[in-house]
Amino acid sequence: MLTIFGILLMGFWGLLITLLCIPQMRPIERLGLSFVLGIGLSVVLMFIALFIGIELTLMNLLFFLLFSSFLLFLFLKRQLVVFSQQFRQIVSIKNFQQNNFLEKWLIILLLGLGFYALVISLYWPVHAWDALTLYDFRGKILADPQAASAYIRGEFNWFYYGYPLLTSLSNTFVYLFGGKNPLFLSGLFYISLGVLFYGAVREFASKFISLLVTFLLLAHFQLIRHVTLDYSNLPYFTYFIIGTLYLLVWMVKEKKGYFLIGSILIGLSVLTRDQEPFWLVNFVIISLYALNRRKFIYPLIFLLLTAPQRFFWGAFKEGVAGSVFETSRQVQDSSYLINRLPDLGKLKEVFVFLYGVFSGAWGLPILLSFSVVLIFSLKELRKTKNFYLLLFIFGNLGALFLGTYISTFTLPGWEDISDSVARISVIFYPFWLYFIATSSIFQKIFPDKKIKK
Amino acid sequence: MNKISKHNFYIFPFLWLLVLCLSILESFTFPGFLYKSIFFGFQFFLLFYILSGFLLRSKILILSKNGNNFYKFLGQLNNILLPIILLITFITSAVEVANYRDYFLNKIHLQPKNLYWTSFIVLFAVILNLKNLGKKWFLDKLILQREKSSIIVLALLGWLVVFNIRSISGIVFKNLFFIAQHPLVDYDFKMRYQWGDFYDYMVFLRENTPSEAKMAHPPWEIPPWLSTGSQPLVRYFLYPRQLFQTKDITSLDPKADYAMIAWGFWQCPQKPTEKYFGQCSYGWPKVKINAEWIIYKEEKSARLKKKIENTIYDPDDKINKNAWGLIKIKKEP
Repeated sequence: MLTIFGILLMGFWGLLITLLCIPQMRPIERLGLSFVLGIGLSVVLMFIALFIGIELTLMNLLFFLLFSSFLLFLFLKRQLVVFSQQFRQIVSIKNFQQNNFLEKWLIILLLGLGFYALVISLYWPVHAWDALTLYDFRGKILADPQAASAYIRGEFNWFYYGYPLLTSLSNTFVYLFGGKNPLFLSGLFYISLGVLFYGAVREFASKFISLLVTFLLLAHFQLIRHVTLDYSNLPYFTYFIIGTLYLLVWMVKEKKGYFLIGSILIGLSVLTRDQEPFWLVNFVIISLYALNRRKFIYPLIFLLLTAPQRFFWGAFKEGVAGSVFETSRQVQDSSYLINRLPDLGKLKEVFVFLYGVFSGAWGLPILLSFSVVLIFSLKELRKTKNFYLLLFIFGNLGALFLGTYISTFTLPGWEDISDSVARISVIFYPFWLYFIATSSIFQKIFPDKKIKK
Repeated sequence: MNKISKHNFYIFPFLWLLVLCLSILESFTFPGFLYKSIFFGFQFFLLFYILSGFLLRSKILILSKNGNNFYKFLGQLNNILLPIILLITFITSAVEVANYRDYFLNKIHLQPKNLYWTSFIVLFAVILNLKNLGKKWFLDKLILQREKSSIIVLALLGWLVVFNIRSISGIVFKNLFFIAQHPLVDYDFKMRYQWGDFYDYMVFLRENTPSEAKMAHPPWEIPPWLSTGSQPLVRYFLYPRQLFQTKDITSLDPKADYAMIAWGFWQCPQKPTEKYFGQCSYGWPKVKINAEWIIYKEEKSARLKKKIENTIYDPDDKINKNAWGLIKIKKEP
């Protein structure tokens, strides 16, 4: 019971933050955002508390969440009332009946997937290899004040500092509230990803297409298997994908709240997994956009909300775990690109390797669909919103390609990382779906007057 | 174009029957059978079936009729077939998951996952047969406005829907079936299901050592001790006990008070190209140890089977073959 209360309190706190940042949002989408923002920002505060010597205890957490929620509540009472009225209207049977036949079935299927994710993540305990060896182990020790202090002092083996702490501290949150099994957080991340993805697509596409691509997203093996893994991948995907799509909404519709939340979410993705350089690609694209529109402050704000996590965590782990995580080693790895001509043989190897991973993990249908839509959209591309989306997609594909290319020099047996690459490649699947759904191809057939301008 | 449309009236039923039979054929052989046999995969014929279907629908719309008597019969046949084939698909998938992988392949040489394509073929025919809803229905809108790009992309997304449902059905059924069969089991049962005897062994070690114990365990990343040799993995179950391991399989860290007796869960490398091929041997420790006591675990359980006091652990002793246990090391005064 206490665990449920803790999650609800954290979600309520997240809800108030979303009301502060984005006044207008679909109620269901706001609920999904409440969870991801609530847990993410709670973890950031727990992280800071650990470093400044404040013990992570139930009372400390409760006090902070209750006190800050109360203050925000006083300020946002009216918006909360409006939200609850909107929410009740959305989940009513009357509203459901207004959907057409296919939309109803898609909603039922999506609810089924969400229910399935919740059931299996509540049923199974944390059991996957990496979750036991790293994420959940850290989650448990950080819930013990003495062990947590030892961890911050760097008294554990370097292995335990390899990945940032978001996934582990999320588990710690559950343990502090008396929970025994934090795996249900994966189920909530999965559901939130679906809800938020739907909301992001719905900004530019009709309800039917939004529901269809959301179903295609959630009903994929690579995503659904993560519900029982308790790895950092699912939270990372959620934060990075939704963060990027929110940045896109900001670029097209100039809604500043989406920029703020999008940047925060990308920052949280860095606090989940810091090895992936995709956030840098986002920074480059935002900078290009800002230069084009003469909005020079935005790249700085983005950096402010994302870079500290990367550099602070990097400095910390280098400080405690020594030469294993030296930045200079990463710089040395990157030197394989400088002062040497591209190795065509290796480039071809990397291309074949990545194609094999992508088509094996994702299948031909999505690759073909994306390619076909891209070909049909080429003529009008520069004028449309999807121009920036393509920059995100190909920019990040380029980063993945480059990273794999460098690995051919630095990592013996680099071909054995296909499972890791398949997991990382999950970020592209939602972008492909988003691109297909929001392309001009469907606009003529599904013009939706309710899409917000 | 009119000639093609005219002939399509006759081509479509033929294609319907062809892809239906081909999908059933691949269900009873293997996916990719056609591609291997005649260099044209099943999806090649499926694509023509779908295009023929769209062309047929456009003709029916324009002529504002729902087809002749033969088509009415075909429509009714598909309406009857759809629930039957869907039921067969789901039941066979669920039964397979409840038993073991390739259950139907072994029994009647059937691959249930391929029946999703059969279901799609019939479902598509049913959708085509739906009464003319005028210009409101999006499919008719697409066809009437000759939106080729949208039709192609929707067809590809339809393919993706079937592809995805096929890929997740196994894992979904497997989990739901397990939960339905074991709704109220405890943590130990679930972990035993996931980790097998390794979990029992961890429980055995935890229950037979104090929390301040210092335990030696096999070296890291060397088969057959890939799990018992993984210090982070073992630590999850045994923390706060301290763990010690050396790189050499024949030595023991002197700081340890206890030592695992680990036969090895993982198979030794079978191929000459694999690392440690020819160097892998079961059973650890590899040296004799003076012991205050040695305890052995029961098979497929965390219970203690036997305890021997004041003895010497000898790796060549028959009792240590296939054994899992624990040594309390006798320290020299």
